Amino acid sequence: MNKKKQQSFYVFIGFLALILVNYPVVYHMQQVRTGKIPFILGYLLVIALLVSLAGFILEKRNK
Amino acid sequence: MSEKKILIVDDEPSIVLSLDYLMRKNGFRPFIARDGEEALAIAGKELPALVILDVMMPGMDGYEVCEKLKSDPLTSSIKIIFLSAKSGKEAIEKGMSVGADKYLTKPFNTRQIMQEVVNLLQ
Amino acid sequence: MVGGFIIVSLILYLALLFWIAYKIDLSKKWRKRVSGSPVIYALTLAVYCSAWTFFGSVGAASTYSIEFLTIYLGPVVAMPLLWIVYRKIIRISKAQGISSIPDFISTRYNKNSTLNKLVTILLAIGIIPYIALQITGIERGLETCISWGDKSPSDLTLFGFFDMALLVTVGLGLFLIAFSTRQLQDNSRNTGLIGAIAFESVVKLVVFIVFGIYVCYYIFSSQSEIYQLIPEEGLKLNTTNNYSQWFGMIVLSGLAFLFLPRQFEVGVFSVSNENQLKKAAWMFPLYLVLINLFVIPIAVAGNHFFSGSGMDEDTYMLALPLHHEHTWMALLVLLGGFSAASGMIIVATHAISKMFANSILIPSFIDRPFILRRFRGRHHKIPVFFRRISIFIVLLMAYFYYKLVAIEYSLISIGLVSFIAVSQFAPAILGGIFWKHGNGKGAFAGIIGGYIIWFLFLVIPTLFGGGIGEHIGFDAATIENNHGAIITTVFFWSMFVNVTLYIFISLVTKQSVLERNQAEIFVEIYRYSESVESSVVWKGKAFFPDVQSLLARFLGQQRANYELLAFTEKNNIKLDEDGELDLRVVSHVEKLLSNMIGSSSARILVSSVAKEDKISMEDVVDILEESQKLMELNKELNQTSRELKRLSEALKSTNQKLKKNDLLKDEFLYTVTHELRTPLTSIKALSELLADDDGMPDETRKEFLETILKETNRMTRLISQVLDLENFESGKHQLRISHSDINELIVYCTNTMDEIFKKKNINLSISLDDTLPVIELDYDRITQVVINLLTNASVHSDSLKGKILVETRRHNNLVVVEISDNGQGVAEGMEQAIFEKFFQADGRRLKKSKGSGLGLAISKKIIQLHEGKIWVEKSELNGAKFIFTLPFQQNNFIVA
Repeated sequence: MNKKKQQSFYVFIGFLALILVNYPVVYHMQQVRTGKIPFILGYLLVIALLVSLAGFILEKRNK
Repeated sequence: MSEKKILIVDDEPSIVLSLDYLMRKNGFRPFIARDGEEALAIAGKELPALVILDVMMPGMDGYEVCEKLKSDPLTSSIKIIFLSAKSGKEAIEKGMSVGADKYLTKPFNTRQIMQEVVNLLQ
Repeated sequence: MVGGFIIVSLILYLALLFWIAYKIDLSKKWRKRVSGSPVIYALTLAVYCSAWTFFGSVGAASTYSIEFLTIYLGPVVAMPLLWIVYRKIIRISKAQGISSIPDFISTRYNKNSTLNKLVTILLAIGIIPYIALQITGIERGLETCISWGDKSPSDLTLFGFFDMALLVTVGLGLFLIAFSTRQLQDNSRNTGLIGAIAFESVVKLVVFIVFGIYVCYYIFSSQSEIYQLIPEEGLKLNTTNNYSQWFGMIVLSGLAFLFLPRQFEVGVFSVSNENQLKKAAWMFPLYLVLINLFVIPIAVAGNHFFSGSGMDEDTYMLALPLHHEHTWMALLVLLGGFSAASGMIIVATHAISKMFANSILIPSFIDRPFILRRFRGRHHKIPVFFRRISIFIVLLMAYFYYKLVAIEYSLISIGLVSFIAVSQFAPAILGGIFWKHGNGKGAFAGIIGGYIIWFLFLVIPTLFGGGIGEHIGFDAATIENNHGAIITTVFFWSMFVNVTLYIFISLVTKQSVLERNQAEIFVEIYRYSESVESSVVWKGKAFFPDVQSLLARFLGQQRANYELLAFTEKNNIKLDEDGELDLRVVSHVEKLLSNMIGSSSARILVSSVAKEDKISMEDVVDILEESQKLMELNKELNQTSRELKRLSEALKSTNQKLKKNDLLKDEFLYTVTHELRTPLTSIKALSELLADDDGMPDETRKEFLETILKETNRMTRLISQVLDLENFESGKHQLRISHSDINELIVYCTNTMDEIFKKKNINLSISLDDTLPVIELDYDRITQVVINLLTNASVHSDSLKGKILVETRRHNNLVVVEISDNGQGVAEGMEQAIFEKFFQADGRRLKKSKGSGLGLAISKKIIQLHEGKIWVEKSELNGAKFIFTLPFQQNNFIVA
């Protein structure tokens, strides 16, 4: 992967994450109620893990 | 007093021609050899007082002839003059080291060579 | 709990930090491991999680809102940008010798020392309360532990005398004095300090997770049991479920994460390779996930036990174990909190004190006589001295701030006030690295404008409860109850003013020439990073001894010499020991000094030894063009060097060939003179004899004269042959090609030789192929070859019954000529050698009467020029058979 492409991926992940943790997405996530654990916590956790995973894949791809 | 024998060794007929005439004229008895083997044979048989020896000859070269003459007690007292076109320092040193009495270079001066011969034979 | 016991634990913990930092600094192996490790790098970024995270998150979560998570979602969102923003900033800082945020901003904008000082002071104003906040965090933790169960007012002094918070501050100050100036003393980074910070990040994370598990599975039986306690309406985003506030907090945290001085310090100035960034980009979000995993359960548990008791929510972390009388767990949490607070204090104080020393103290005092006198002969101690003074000042200010102000407010609100202060530098920095037109005036105005908003509407209301803020509803009560909304509002307006001013003023005012150059370098750093150190943005005169002694003052003689030598060698600059210096060297020296004492001081010092000229626009354009050219040149050079290598190898082999040729030429010359000497000797001797002797018989006289004539002819022949050969070889002789009948040529030659054959009694037979066409050849030269071969044959054929056979025939498009004799033939193995000049059999000359030794060499040359071949075989007559071939047509010569 060339440097330009790589940079674009990083920017893309950042913006995607910014959108996913904001209104309107969080509004819906906050409304969801399932079981004991508040759904919004699980959701934000998954987003953080996804960002980490994307970063991990980008790093391995560019070894 | 009998004429002193002198052996002329050279493969160049025109040089032999001049040396032969020169020796004869000055009261020596010249013998001619065309190459190294012939020279050793004549020297062993005639026992000349002096050999005028060319260095570069087909077959055995002059240095070898000189060494052989000097190492044979029969011929070791024969005076040897090298007469060679090789005028380099190394060639002269090599000539002296194999036992020559004199090293003269070609082209030679006829008077000078006569002088050397006479000096050596005194 | 007993105060003394706690104090001993803290002292032991501090001692451990000292030991770790010391050990790392001591061992080269460990220094290398720590400074290059991506894991350590990610862990040091976690200095972001301070006491505020450790104690404050739980406090904030106790309101059942998850607004505290925005502080961590910001960095998670910003993490992918680390590769874009930090990598560029790191490149620029390395190339320009930048070691602090004020240096970074002022280097980009006109190298303006006023801007530098302004940024420093504003950052200090923004961050010192934050440091005080950490002291508060520690103090509150201590207070909770010591006074637990005591109804009497808590006594936070040791032996009634030492203030514990002061004691902790002093301890950390000592740590900083010991380890934060390492960089100045030798060439290493502050690796020990970095290692200790990474260790602290591990401690706080482990403690938090252990404590979370303790709460969920020891005090309660499972996590879901705790979640049952959350009220029916669930978790709110923030107290009013305000989405723009949620968004604003994420953006604010993201910016703060990137531009906090402590993050810059560990994230930019301590990085050793860019790949550390890539690993941190995914490791650090994981760290944030882990440290936030148990915040909500702990807060809910805290509410369960202490709700309505008036307990400060920020102390739930300690209150929980103390309530259950698990003293050891409380001590562990206290140490965890201490690690979080001390890590932040150490790095933030390190960063602020560095800029304070480099931007304010050193530039003000560096050329004062009393300072120079005091440090005579050890000027390199000056930066260290001022750095230590700065550490002292910064910690003292933080301590007094803590004593006077911070104690009144919650941990999280002071932190956010700092965040907004720090984010005011984001436009100038981001604009500086992405926007070429951003200029110093714009940056200046933007920062000032943003800070004014921040100060009027956030600091004054926070400090004095109201002020101007009251007119817009920012009274103390509103701030206390709804700080999130106010923070977001102030953040928005301060950034709005800041960015607007920055862009507007940058557009309406002009950049200086120097600034435009710096803008170009900053924005296009990837294009220039290879060559930027050899591109000079400086014009003037400086002399080697001055500059050298200046550098030696701060780096020490040995390192100064080394640095100068390394730089000049790398860039191929000649050092004139007494003369004017190459400008690149001056630039580099400024960069080196800047790394050590900051850009302002470096500039002052360099201009004290160098006379600067005004730089013109053309100069800058030249410089930049040159830089770019240099890059391209570098690429080309690599290629060229490969080609050169190939070429030099080719040259080597050519040289060997030439040497061999030379040797051959010498040998040839030697042989020629030698060959001339023989006839000359005879001629001379015979002439002397003729001249001396009048009585010589006529017959002898005639013989002598004839011999002389013969020898003279021999010499003439030799000389003409040597000339012939030489001319052929040098290309002077060209063939004169005509259409000829080869058979006719051969007949002509044999006729010429007829006399000699008869004399020698040689039987000649000729067998010619009548069908041969007329071919292209040089008639005279081929005649020469045939005559030469016939002469050789006549000389070598049997002396009594000589036989010579001449034959021509056709073979494909070739004419073949064969001349055989019945002599002894050519000795085996000599078939090639006889065609060489002065061929010597057995290393000795083949003698006399058989020609000059050049005939065959010349023949070969002539045949080769005709694109034919010549060789010798054994003849049917048992002698030698010379064969040559000629093509019908000549391609390389024009037919005359």
